Amino acid sequence: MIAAVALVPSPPFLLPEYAGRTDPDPVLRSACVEAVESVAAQVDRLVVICGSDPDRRHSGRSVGARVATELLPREADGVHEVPWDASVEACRSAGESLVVGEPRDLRLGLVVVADGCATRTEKAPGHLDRRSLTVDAAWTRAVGADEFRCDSPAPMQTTGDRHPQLGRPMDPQALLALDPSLAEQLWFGGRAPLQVLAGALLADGRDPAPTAYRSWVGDPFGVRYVVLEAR
Amino acid sequence: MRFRLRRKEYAAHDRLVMAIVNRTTDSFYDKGATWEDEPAYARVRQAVAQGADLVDIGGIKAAPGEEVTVGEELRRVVPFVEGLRAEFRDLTISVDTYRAEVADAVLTAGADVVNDAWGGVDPEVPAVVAAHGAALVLTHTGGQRVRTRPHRVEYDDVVASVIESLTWQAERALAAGVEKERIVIDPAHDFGKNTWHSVECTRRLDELVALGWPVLVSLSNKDFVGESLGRDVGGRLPGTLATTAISAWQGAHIYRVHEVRETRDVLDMVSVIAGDLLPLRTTRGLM
Repeated sequence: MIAAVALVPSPPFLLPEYAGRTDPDPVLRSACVEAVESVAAQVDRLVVICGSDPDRRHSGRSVGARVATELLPREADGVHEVPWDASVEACRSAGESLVVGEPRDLRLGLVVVADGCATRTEKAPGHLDRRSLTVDAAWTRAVGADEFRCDSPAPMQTTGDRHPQLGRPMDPQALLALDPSLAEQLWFGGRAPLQVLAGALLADGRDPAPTAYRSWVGDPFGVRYVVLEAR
Repeated sequence: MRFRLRRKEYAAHDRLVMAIVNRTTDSFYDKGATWEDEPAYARVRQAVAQGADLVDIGGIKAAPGEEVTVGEELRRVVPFVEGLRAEFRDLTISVDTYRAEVADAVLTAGADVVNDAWGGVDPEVPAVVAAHGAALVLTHTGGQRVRTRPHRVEYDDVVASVIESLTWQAERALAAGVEKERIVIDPAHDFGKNTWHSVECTRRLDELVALGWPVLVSLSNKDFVGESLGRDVGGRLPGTLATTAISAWQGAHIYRVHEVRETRDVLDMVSVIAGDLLPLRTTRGLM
């Protein structure tokens, strides 16, 4: 049974090899650490879901896998890296395979490493594409986090917001509806891992699905980051 | 190699900014701007805020001019050192003087470094510095008399002369009891040197660094920069900063300067490129 899910973004500035004298976003970092530590503490088996690097020019592990390693308080029991451009069906079936065959009484925790669109502002890595606002709003809602000012290209508050109240259950069907082609155009790196999550949620069948317990949503650099813990 | 100033210990890759604070009416660059107490204190506060690691207080301008007696020099610098020590508990305070009597008074007042800018002309200075457990900056002037300009000076090899003089002075300082880690050497650009000499000292600065003592360079807005570029005093900052970067890349440690913020940036940039300092904050391509 999927007992808890942590969702974190993977800006490489979270990695120690890119640490300068000051942390670009300590609030984001602490939110991520809090989310993954909380999930790790609640479960028997911890599995990381991440995507491959779209623009790969190195031979090392993917950024997503390395960020997960950096954030997690202990080694994950498994790391599932999905090709960033995997089809919806391939993602779904990869997600199913993560839960099928697991004992029902085993408390499974998922750490999903997924970034939203990198085209949210003119200064964003992929420049401004207003369609990203709609797409980000859709997946942010689908994971159960709150969306603010999603109709505005202006950056959201750099510190993000915390919402300790219970949110909505995750909506795997809405995640599966994300369009890979549009995602690619919008530099939406987290589409594939989110659809793996959707496959796992559907195969798990928990009703209601894990529900956002607390979340942090922001785009301080024009890239949508969602940090979330769902139970 | 490690060196010590006040209570702080520094490593070979540290690059320190020494802010010039002249208590003179007629120094070539500031022309008396910090002659009065209030602007002098303001200058130190600003320098510290801009990242200066130490200040260098001078009561006599280097160039020829009105004679400044011991009594007048003491009057200019001692109360200021006392006042700075009271306000800045941790600031390293250097005083630019060639006189042992003044050195003794300023070290008693709370200074930490004697910048003996005229080549160790007063042989009592090292013993005074040793008695206070202070640091001593040794300089090369090629035997130039105090407060005179070089006139038709030639060397077989200026860097060899610098090394010979500074090595001899370092041995004298050690013999007088100055701590090994509190001896600093300075080739003293423009002192007993024409522009060709100062440029060569910069080009071959690594030979001084290789001696193993911390190296101080005093480049700020000097004539060798002006003559290299055809710039008056007010237009020498780019040339000064270029020389600063070259010196830093070759491993100099202390930079005696008028412009603190700009020098701090140049030194930090060199340190980042050298891998001695992390960038401040990196997000480009990493968001």
